[in-house]
Amino acid sequence: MKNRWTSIAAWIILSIYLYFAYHLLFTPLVLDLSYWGVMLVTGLVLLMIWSIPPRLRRNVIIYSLLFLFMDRAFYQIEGSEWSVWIAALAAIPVLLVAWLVAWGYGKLSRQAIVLLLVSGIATTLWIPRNEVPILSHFFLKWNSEPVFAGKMFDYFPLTVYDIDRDGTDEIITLGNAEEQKLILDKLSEEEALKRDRDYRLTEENLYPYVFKWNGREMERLAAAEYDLKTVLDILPKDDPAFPYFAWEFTEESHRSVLNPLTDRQRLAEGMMQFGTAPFRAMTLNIENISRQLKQSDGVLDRALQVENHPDLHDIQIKDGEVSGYLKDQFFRVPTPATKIIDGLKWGGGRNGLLVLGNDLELITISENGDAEVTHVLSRKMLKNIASSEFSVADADGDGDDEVFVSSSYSRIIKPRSEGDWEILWTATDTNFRFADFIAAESGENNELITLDQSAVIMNPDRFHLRFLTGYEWDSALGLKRDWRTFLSFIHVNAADVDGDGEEEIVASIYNTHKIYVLEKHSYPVNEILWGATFGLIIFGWTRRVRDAVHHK
Amino acid sequence: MPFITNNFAKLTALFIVWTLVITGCTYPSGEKVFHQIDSEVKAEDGDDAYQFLKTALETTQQAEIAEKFWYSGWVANDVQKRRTNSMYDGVVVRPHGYLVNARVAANPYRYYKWDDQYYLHTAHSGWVKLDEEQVPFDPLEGFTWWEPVLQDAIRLPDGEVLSKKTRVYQVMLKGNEWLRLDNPQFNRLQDTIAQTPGMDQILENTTVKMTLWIGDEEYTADQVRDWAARKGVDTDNGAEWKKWAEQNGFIRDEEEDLYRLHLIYQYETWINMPVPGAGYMDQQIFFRFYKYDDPGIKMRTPEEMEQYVQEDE
Repeated sequence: MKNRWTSIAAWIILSIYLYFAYHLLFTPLVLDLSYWGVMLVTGLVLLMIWSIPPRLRRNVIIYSLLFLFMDRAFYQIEGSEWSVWIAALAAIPVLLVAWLVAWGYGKLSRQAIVLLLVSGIATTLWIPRNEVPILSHFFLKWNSEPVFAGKMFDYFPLTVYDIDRDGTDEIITLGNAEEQKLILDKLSEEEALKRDRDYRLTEENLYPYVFKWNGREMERLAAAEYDLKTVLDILPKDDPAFPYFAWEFTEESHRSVLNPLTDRQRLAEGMMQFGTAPFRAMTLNIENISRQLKQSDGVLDRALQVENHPDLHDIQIKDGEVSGYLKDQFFRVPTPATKIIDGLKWGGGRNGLLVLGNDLELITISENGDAEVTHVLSRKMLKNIASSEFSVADADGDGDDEVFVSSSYSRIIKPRSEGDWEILWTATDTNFRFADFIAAESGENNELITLDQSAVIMNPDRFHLRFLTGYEWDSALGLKRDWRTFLSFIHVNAADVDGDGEEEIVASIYNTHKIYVLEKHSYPVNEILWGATFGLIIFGWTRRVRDAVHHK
Repeated sequence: MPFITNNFAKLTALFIVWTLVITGCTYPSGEKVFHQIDSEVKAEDGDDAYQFLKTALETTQQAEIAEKFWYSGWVANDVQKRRTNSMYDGVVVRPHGYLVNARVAANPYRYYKWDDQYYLHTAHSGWVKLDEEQVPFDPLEGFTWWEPVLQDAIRLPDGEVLSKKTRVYQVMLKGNEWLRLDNPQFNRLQDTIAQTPGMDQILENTTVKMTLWIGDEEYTADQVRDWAARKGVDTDNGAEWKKWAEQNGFIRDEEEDLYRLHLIYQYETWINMPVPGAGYMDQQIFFRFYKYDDPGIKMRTPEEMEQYVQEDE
């Protein structure tokens, strides 16, 4: 009897170990260390196989392979868009194959087969596969359902902001899932089919989705509970499907609309007048930008406040100049820029404002309101400046800010009093991006949250190969890695959204329109898995030795 | 004892593992320099651009050998980190129609035209028959719209497009200069521009760069005669195939006893334009035309298309 329970426990432990070691130890090793990782994993696996007592070896290997086979198969099923019932149906052949191999070829005991199948299903139901990679450093605190029901758009802007001024940030994005459901529920089957088979480009109504922590989960706030104008003001500027779709914000109906400026037939026919193609593209650009400018009355960008400099306020770019206030002092300076990036403190107390046009410009503003462009990072100095992103933070804590340039070959740069830029750090690959920054509490180091590439995946889809990684800035070594999760996110924000005083990570996954809140934990998951791996090897090895002695 | 050696081996392995894991954890800086992008081009005066383009347009317009061709192209917009692409490729069979395999903002669709029959396909709708066209079929429309600025073109070093020798001409101008060109597209925009606050500034800061690759191929008399033979011309009769060559835009170079042929091979426009609140956009409009007169170009008949529509319904 005792033997039986020991054996059950052993199989269950093996399942749990396989599940976590595979996702959190072996896969990351390969992703991180490439060929070295493959060699290392191969070595570890051989060592483990060697350490299994010979009489159990065949069974354990078959059990493990089948478990991992089921893991992969269930992952495929999870990744599909099937309904629960079809997914359950699809799982049947997987279980059948596993059972047949385990029984017919593996000659596993009935008990082992049952445990294999049950643990395979249980792990799947327990934690969705695609969320396992974060567990090494985070818990999934909450995730939303997709907030957008549609296929035309891969993501919308997302930000965190304390919109109700209660000291805790809310998550703010745009979507239409709930509203669409209401519409679809009312449609007859025929109407729904017709709608689904529409070949035209149709307008897309979008509504603010503001999520607030209610003590248990993030809950969507009703429209009356926040100010729409603020929402539209603070959402980062984004131009999905530019120039084919144009935003229109209507305050009264509490929604925004993405309107198509063309349709598929006109676009194809127009482009087939090949010579006119650039003229047609320009026409769409102008129609789109014209709509934006008419709505803003010619203002290119406006910021009531900037994140990184509390004294700068009411800034706007209009008619070829940027104007605003430093404390009570008005300033203005001509600029070809169209985007206000952030305030920047530099040179031991000088006040800067970073704006982006074709070049990145640093405008330095003196206390009496004199303002001039003191530093330029030009298009010739930075490849693809148009698609680069810039953010400002004080990474080394010396009171002067650094500029984080996210582009192919990302950089950390800092203005020097000579009027040029000092480069503190340069990425050596094209995929690395800075995402956000967690300011240090006293005695700790600042943390840079980044999206960093894996050593092996050469997937051309750039959204799926950047893994959430935490670094510390070290002026001597460069970036020192604190942690990494092997999952790709977009819209990564560090913010305290549950009011516990610690910053969570708010993010989304490309093309899912789902929002994730991750809470950092301090369990030494990696160490535990390494310990378990060597523990199992040593345990198996002692059993072997005992068996050998016993045999004599 | 053998156990100790085993343990020792394991500890060594553990140590190696940790060293590997830990050294993999620092991202040292690369070389601390900015890019130095040199956009200077070696250029010659290109004031023959218009004449050359006109010859090519006439050839492409009139020649029997330019009735059928393949094309592929795209419009790519980089605005901040977003890249929005639309793509177009397929075949043209003048004067009847064309097939487009297209994408708009990453969503694929297909469009088919043959005489006055139009069909559109998306993944959701399947093939759908459309009643009428919105833009008339004329693949060469628009090239001459550049005429007023082609005097200022520069000639870049000769290039190759899919191993065809080409002459390369380039025009650069500001957005507001471009918008002053007289063409139906821009003419109907003038009111919009006048009524939009801040639009003048946007166009003032916009730059446009258009590059044309025009074929400059040389054929021997034998090659031209063979081509004519393939098209069913009686090549035993010298006058007959020479007339065919002339009609198809082959220009005889008496001195070298060569025939020259000028067709449009590639057409690219870059637009660098301010976008409110988003920096500047880099937009590329690119088209390539190739395999003129490829016998492999076959289009489905409208009757076949009609069957697809019925299957999809």
